[in-house]
Amino acid sequence: MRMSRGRGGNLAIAAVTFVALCSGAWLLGSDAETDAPPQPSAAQARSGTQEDPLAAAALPPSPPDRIRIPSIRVNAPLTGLGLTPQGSLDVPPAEKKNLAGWYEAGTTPGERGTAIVAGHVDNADGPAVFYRLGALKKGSTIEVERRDGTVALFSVDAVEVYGARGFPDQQVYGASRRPELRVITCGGGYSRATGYQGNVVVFAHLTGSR
Amino acid sequence: MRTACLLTGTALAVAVAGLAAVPAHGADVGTEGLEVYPSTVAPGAEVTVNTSACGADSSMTGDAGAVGAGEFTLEPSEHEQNAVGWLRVPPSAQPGTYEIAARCSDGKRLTGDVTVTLASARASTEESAKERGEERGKEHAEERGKEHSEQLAEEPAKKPSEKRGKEHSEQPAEEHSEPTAGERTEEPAQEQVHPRGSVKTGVGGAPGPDPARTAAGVAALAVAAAGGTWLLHRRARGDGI
Repeated sequence: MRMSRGRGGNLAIAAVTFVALCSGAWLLGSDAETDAPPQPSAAQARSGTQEDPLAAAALPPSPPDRIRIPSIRVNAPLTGLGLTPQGSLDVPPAEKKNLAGWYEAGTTPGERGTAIVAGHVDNADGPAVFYRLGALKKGSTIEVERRDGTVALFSVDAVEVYGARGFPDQQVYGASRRPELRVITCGGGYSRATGYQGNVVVFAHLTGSR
Repeated sequence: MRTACLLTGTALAVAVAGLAAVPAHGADVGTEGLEVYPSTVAPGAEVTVNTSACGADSSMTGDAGAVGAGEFTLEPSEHEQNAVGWLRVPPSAQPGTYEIAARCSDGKRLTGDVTVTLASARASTEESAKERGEERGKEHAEERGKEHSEQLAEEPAKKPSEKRGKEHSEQPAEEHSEPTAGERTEEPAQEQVHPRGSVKTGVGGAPGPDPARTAAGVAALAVAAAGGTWLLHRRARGDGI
């Protein structure tokens, strides 16, 4: 009798131990996965001396519907964005983690000028649409599906990180002579008190369409 | 939603009595008439005129005499069924709505509207640019109805240098490539409002360990360790394992 009770108790303890071990490992292990998002290396920075490569001929204006960046497995719908009262670019609703936005008072992607797309790096639940944006490399392809049925193809020129202080508005948002695209998310250092200290900005130009 | 759009589109088309009801969303192919981007501009600004109404037509001549811009050329673009042209609203143009016309090779006459307003010319500083955005929306709604104001929000005036047509690529490009740092920062404020500053696209949910979660993980491991120890202890006593 005592024997079987002991055995039962042991089994229970073994089970509890096993479950605790697994859940502990899971709780701590998945934390390790959610490290800070990747940040671009210096090799991906803009090379100031180089001439801008020629872009493909501009497309007629058409609002974008979807952005795809195959190399970092981004495939997300785009919503229209305006400006905040402070004049900064508004952001898509944070709770929709696979949603990016485009600045709809600006240039449409593929049109001559600078089109702007922004999305969250993360939200309260974890990584969001542009979590891996900082891992993008020069020459990667960005595809933008447009409402007129064309897909504008962009090639990445540079991936930069800029601090919120002294943000280079002209470089990031300023007009451009060729059809260009900027893809923006949060980045730079992160502190629990102030959040992300800047933005990862991807510079790309139009290479064609299909 | 789609039905609503269609209905609104129809209402608008009727309202402007055949004048190009420019679809805000480029997908509505086959619209009769000229699409004018932006449809509301300040004097001196440049507008893009688009049409898909002539099919794969060769280049055609548009007439913007009403607004004082004379004739302009519409060239077929890389996208079939679409011809694009550019024209510059003279700096002397008076506020008002003007008709722009063009004719397909089969004789079909196309028209579109451009509204000249002084509102955006007044705002030449970055500070007023924001307010203007709101103001313009309001004014516009009064002037031309809601659809148009939405469209304005989507397609505000472009920089002249951005919209230079192929046909004047050479010498006017010189004229427009002059704007350097100082002027460039002003231009967008005049015609296209650019965002400023960094973007708040992260809340920091992902990076760094969540303290509560870490604590729970450590607690769970502690329980596991205690359980394991106890089991080993029992086994050492030969207690039934």
